[in-house]
Amino acid sequence: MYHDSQIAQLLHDEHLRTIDLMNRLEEATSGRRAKSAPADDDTAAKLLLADLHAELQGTAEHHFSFEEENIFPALMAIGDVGIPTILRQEHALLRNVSETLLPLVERAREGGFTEPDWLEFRDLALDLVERHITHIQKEEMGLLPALSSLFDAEAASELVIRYAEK
Amino acid sequence: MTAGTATFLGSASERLLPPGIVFRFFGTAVIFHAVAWAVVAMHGEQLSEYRGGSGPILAALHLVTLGVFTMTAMGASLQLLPVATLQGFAAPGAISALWWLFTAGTICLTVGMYWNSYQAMILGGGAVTLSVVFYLCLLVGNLRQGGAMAVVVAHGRLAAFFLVVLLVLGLALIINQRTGMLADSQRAGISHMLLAAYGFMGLLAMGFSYVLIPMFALAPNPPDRWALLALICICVGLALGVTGTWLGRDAWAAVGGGLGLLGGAVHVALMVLTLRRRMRKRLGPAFTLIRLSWALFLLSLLLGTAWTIDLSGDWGPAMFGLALLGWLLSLLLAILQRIVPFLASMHAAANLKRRPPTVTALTAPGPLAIHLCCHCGALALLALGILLNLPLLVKLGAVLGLAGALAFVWFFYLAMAKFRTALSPLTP
Repeated sequence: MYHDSQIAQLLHDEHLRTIDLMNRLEEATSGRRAKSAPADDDTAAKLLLADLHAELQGTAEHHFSFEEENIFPALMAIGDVGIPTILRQEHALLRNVSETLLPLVERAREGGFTEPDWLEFRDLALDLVERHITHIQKEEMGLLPALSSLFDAEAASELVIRYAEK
Repeated sequence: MTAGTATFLGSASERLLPPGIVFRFFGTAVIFHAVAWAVVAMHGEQLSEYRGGSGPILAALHLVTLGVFTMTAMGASLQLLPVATLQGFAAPGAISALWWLFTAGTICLTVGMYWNSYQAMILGGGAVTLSVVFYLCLLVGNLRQGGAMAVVVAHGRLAAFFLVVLLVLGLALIINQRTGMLADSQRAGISHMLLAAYGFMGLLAMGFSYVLIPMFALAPNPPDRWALLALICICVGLALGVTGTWLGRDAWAAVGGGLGLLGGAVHVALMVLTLRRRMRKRLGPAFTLIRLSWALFLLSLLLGTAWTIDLSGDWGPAMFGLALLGWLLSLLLAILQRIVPFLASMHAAANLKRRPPTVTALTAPGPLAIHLCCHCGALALLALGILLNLPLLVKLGAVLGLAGALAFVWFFYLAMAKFRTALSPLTP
């Protein structure tokens, strides 16, 4: 999707990156192959765990806090309260799932999955995937199209710089 | 402004309606869907020969077009348009009143059609007209403010225009039963049906598809210029089709059908292309219904064009009507099974005390699988019954459709029950 606003385009590109990761995570944790934990020398699984670790450790948080500090207040200032409130709630939930998932990912990166760890990881990962995907769907439909009317080109450029600096 | 008035009018900038109002529209549509199949199951023998006039078939037709299509379109547009156009409708209380009037009007009108009661038809038709005019005011007002999605806005405006024309024609058809003021009520009836299916519902369905399909599939929006080309072809085709039908000029209607087919093909090609570019790999069973609806959309245009040049047999009109209703019904039920859990999960997220259920947790796969099988089976049996002129097959198809509709009611009930649980306070 092409967005008129620079900041909308930036957030959209971030969404695409997250969707790609969530697709890989879903692929690895559902279906027949997900019945047992991946082997310790599975390079695709190692790469996925590394990317997921980076996402849980800070990438998603950067995206969420940027929206909460810069986008949602601007929407609420014009009286649009419902959608920012819901999106903020979803951020809190995603943070919560991420915090539970992170120690499992760290343990798995150090010494592979034990059977109970894998089962817990699989359930949490699928929960994270679904919540992330539906959250992105809401932002793509209800948030990003609003940004071009919410911020002029200059303000959008400043936000892009702020996003990169943070 | 008093507190009561403020509550009634809501906030002009608020884009989310209270969930109770939106789900009321969808729940009513789901019930009307089951009632429509029940009426066809009872009177299916009249379907193949039906060429217009009041009675159970006309009642069933309006239970679907008003009770299911328009009711769903109202609920979906009142909730989704503000999100897409970035402007709130600002009137939860008024929207609630709209639901009451439209529901009562639809019941009164269809009961009048079923029992051939002119007074009930006039009363119901009047209430439906009043509520639809009010809905139009809301719709046009919202579209006027929303420049963010030009393609959706263009479809919405033209759908609103066709809605006015079909409404006038619909009222004229009711009054004609007493006065005989229309020279050819059958042709007027067909024009009314074309305007309703392709003009109002079809354009709304196409417009929303450009937003909803990319959203659910996480795909790029199709290019505006191609979407507008499809829109122009459909509208010019419809204008020619209706004028040709009205004036008895079959060649005009045939050209209109051809143009419509071209527009429909462009629209379906855009949708297929959108799905090919999607990032979400797993689309779910709703997309089986959506793909079926695209096939039926094109089939309806083919059958309609064939009918205008006398290429279809005696079964032509009934098969055309079946493809037309099958297209919109398949699409709307697919959209409903995606947006009901989606909106419920969205509103449940507002509850701070409980972890909101995911969309998957709110979607009962069993009832939806039953519905999918019954829906496809019902359409196939109805088509066979019409082609072979076997009323028993038509009735069997309608019974299967009713079973599917009840499974859909079950799905809706389960989604709402889980949603209520998610909103309820935690017990200590």
